[in-house]
Amino acid sequence: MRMKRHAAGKRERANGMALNHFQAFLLFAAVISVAFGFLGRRNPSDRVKYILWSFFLFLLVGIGIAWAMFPFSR
Amino acid sequence: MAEDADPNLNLPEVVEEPIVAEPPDVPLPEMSAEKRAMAIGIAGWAVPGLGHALQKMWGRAIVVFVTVGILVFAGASMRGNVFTSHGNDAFDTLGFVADLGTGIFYFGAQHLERNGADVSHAGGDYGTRFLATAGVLNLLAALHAYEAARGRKA
Repeated sequence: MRMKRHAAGKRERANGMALNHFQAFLLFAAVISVAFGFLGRRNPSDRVKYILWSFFLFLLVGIGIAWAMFPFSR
Repeated sequence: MAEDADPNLNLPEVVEEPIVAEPPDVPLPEMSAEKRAMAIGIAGWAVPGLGHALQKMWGRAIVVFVTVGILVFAGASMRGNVFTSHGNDAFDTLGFVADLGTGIFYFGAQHLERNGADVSHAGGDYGTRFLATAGVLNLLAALHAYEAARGRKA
């Protein structure tokens, strides 16, 4: 068991940071939304609204496209 | 002699006003403002967030630095492809231009990827996109800083 875990850890280090598709997608959406919010709006409350709205739209469009592509994936 | 003066005389009181240097009416030369804006844009590209920091836009400066840094760190940690100038085709060159957009972080990404890129799995492919996005985002931020320095609404 310990050897298995050790091997998995070694493999993970060799492969670098291991994020699944959804985690990478969430990280990307969050980071870009924050950057757009700060660059695009000056007022703090406007920024928060913009960040949340942008993040929501990233998720909506990403999941929507993934869902639309699902029938062609197999 | 001053003691001989009539105290009932209504002399105007002398109020001491602070001496303030008036700004010269001569407007700044057009070229120097443009050059300054260009320098701010280049600084923003070279060091993410510096263009905004030079204009005392601290919040934006920190956010640009942190977001570009996170994307570069994640991209390099996921073993994304850091393109070099010795590309084989136009897509490699485009990737190099996008990666170079991260400024000094480009060299950080190369340093982080000690094992080299690995795009044989999805993580590496995502990493490549993260790095390119970081570069394009930083170019956008540098352009924003340049426009703000030119006096456009930002």
